[in-house]
Amino acid sequence: MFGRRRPAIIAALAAAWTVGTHAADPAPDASFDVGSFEKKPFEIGGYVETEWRHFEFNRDGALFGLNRYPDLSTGGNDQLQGTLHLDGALRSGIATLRASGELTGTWDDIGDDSHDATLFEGLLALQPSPGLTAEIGKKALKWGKGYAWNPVGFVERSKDPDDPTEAREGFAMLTGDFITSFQGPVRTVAFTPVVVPVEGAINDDFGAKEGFNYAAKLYLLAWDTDVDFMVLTGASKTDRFGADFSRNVTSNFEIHGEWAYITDSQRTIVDPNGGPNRKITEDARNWLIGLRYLTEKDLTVIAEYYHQGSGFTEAESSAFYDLAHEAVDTGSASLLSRAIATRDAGYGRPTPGQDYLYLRVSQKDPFDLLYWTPAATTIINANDGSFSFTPEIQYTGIEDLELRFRLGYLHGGRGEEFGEKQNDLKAEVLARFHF
Amino acid sequence: MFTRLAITLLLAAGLVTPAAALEPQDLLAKVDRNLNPESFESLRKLVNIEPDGTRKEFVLFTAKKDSDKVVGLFLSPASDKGRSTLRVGDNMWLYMPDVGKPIRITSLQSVTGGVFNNSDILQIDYTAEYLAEGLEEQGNTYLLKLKARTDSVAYDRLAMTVDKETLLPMTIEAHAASGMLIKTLRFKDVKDFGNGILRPSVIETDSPLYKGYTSLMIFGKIAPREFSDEVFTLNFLPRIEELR
Repeated sequence: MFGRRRPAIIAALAAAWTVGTHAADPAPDASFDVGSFEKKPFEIGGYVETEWRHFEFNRDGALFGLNRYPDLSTGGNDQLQGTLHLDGALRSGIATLRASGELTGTWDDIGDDSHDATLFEGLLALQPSPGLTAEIGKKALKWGKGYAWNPVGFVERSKDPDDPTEAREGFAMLTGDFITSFQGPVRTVAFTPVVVPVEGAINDDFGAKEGFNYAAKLYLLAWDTDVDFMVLTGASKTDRFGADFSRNVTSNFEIHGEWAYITDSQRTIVDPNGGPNRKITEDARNWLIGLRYLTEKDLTVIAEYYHQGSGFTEAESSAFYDLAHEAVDTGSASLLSRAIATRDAGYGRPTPGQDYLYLRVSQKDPFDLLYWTPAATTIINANDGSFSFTPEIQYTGIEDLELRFRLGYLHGGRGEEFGEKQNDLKAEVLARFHF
Repeated sequence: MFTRLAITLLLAAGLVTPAAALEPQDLLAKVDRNLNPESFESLRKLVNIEPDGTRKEFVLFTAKKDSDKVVGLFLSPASDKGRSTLRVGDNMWLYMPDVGKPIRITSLQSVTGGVFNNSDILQIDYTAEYLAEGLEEQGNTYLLKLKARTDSVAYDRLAMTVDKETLLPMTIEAHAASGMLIKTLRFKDVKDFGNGILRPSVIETDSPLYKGYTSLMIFGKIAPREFSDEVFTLNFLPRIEELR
């Protein structure tokens, strides 16, 4: 009899205890409608974003001349970009169909206006148990522990260290997860096999040759440290092996690192003696070491050192910049052709050199200004001393709205990486509304 | 008078456990179990309130297993939906769908801003993080003095005031190793969640480091539930929604 009445008695006594002990000190509005957060089989969300960018051209820079030739008189550019980003999921039993993509339109002061549609991910996942998952479709795998660079990201598109958290497009693949947990110092072991086909239009930018590529990652949580071992082999890329780790040293201090060994890594270099462009093939070691530190005043410091053995040496970089300057100065079609070919083969990508230092400092809620986060980021080419410096401020105080203002200043002399870029100053204003 | 009667009836119904002749660590273990079952799921709202009354709210689905494994999934607002967090002992990670991989976070950071830090949001059993070093009787309450087991724990020391008859916490003062008061947590509005779970439904906190700011943690649902160990792993983190 008491058992049947027990819920009502409990509720009455709970109310009595509450009234008796806390009546004088009520909490602020603590209402919570749990029913409105029931799980739905179909969900869709995303954001709309508009971003204005202004670029001041670096008219002494090799990449300015090469990218803009023969129009070398323009001093700057303005762009306005609008983006609609959508994420959706449809769930039924053990199956989930998931997709994300975006539509962008760009209005450019001096170039052509453009619009684009990109599918970042679109896949079917089957999960018969929490420890076993199989996925087929387009997926953006992200491997590695680095914030600005991921030398062990063997099956993903390169990250832009200037905007490392931006969404990136995946590759079509078959993948899965096998997870096992234990008691003791090794708490988790997870194995992730990956098959990436390159055939016709499928993954045609993954690697040079058509065929199947096989990758795998073994993850361990051991002695409170994340450790991964990864490998890639197959038709389209040379074999590569890697490992990474991450660990919290104290309640406000994290360290991480990555190491990758790439067999027969190729780079196309400019011959400093004026000969034809050459391909260098050699094994390369790329590695990164970093930390994240949080002070009592909510100042976060992220620091990373990156060695890119597959990158260009200082002499190789200088040869390219000399060629680009000579090509633009003389207008020689053959020199321009050589310079553009090597730019597209690697010199034109972000951070193409061998040694870099990344430092980001951000302060949450400075001077009691809640939801304001000022930050400053610098990327230093440790070989030539040139650098980029990016101060920014972000505001997230309005529900579902992000506002960000960034400036980017690049500093370096002739023959130095950041002194030879297309721009030497840029400003960005971004507004993103989530729904 | 009425409160005393209610407590007596609660004790008679076996819903709370008395503390007769308890060792400090045993009392702490009883506080843990009176707050929630060892394995459960919950739905919580986190509210950050600014000095001018402006509120920012987050809704979080949470699963916990054993004494030290917790995973959380943000259901609201839209800007945070799909973010998930994992804690295994002193290890914590945050997964953001845009970033696409888990990153390690530390206990003193806060994934929501406001006064609650990651350690508060991903709270594990107090016994897993703290050693009870002292117990004082103070009228109708006990004062439990707790010391962090490792340097990775967010607060070096806690002073926990526990209601003597219900063995539920009433306030917790959290101190840094320097002795500085970092924040005060106040447990309010005891509510019956069913399945014998009777506990404060609101935790309110403020901090001398954030003068004028208050954060609330409002429990809407707590229910016992068993989970596979594999749920509390990095590889499962992007798929926490499948648990709901």
